[in-house]
Amino acid sequence: MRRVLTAIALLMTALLLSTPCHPAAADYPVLRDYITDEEGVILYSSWYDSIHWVCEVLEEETSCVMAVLVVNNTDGEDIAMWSTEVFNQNGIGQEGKDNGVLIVVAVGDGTYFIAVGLGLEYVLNDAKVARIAREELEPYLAVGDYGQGIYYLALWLGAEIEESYEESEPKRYPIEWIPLEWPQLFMACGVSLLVIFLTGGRILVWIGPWLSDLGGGKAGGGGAGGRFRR
Amino acid sequence: MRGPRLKPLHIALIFVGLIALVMLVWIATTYNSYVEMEAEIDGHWNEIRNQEQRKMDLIPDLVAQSEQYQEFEKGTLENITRLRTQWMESDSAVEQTNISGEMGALIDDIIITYEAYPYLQAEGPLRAVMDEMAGTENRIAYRRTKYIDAVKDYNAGIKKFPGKLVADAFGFEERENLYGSAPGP
Repeated sequence: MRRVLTAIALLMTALLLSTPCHPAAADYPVLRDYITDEEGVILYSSWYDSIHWVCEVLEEETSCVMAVLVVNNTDGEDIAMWSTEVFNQNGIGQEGKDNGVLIVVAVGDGTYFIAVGLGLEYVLNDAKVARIAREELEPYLAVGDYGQGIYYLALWLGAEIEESYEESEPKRYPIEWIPLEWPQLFMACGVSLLVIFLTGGRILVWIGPWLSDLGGGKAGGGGAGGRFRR
Repeated sequence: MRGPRLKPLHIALIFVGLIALVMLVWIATTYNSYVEMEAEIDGHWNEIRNQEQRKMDLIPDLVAQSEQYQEFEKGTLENITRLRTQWMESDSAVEQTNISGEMGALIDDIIITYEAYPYLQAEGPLRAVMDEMAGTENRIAYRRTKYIDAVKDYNAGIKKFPGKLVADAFGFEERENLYGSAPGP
């Protein structure tokens, strides 16, 4: 009987592995906090706490999530596409509300982009974001004062959001933080237990990377960007 | 104390039942994956269409603001207006997409001119419409990339074994790439 169960387990695994899905995504940065500074240009500056504070207060008061990412370059990819992909892979903002903003500065490339979540586009339209970035960010980036520029940009964007953002009512589920109806919930529990049983618990190793705490928001390529070094 | 032993027939029935269950789960999962992939393709396609419409809505303002400056070539602005009229009159989504692409090259010319003269970038209606247009083009470019990837993944999925069995059984057909020669969805 044990052999039969093993054979079925193997068959099921083989079939599930053959289920069509998207290929593994390219290697984009994983954001775990409001600020991810791979270049260390704001991490050790006095502006770090100020930027963090703006993001924290914004989330507390509006539920919108603002994140900052500083990298050297975008691997030759257009910064608008790259930033939108980073935004979506990290799911910035709340799922269903898509109320996130991601500020990306590529120090080596001399470019920046502000990706706006779909649920915030009516507050932060492209022209407004571009204007704020030109006035508050670019002058500081041009002289290498990344922390101050990002702080003022975050502050102004945050102020716009606080003033105009109206929180939409999220879809209600039986368990609020799990976006599943009861039948789907039972099925998911059953399948999860079966998979855990069949794999002897080894499947649990693979769920670690999914545990991001910035939400599940989406962006559609909206926002604005520019170049601070010609 | 030992319980009653299962007869070989019972074991065979349990075995067949479990295999059938596994097959059923796999068929359902594969079917749902194809449905989701099709929905994703359609979602990207619809968003491209929305953004193209937005682009067309911005064109009159862009042309009106640009006409006030002699730096912009009059011929380019006339061509953009002509293409917009063609786009509005066309019933074919593919033709509209091609026109939009052609127009994109002309808009790039305008943006290059705009960026070459810093005084054009002073705060005002021209800059606002340029920012909106740049954002719209970003959205189209992003969705186009996602659409092409989604079509590629879906087409590969329904052609590969054993997924092909489910695709054939439930009538999932290959989707033409919008940016190829054949018509879109």
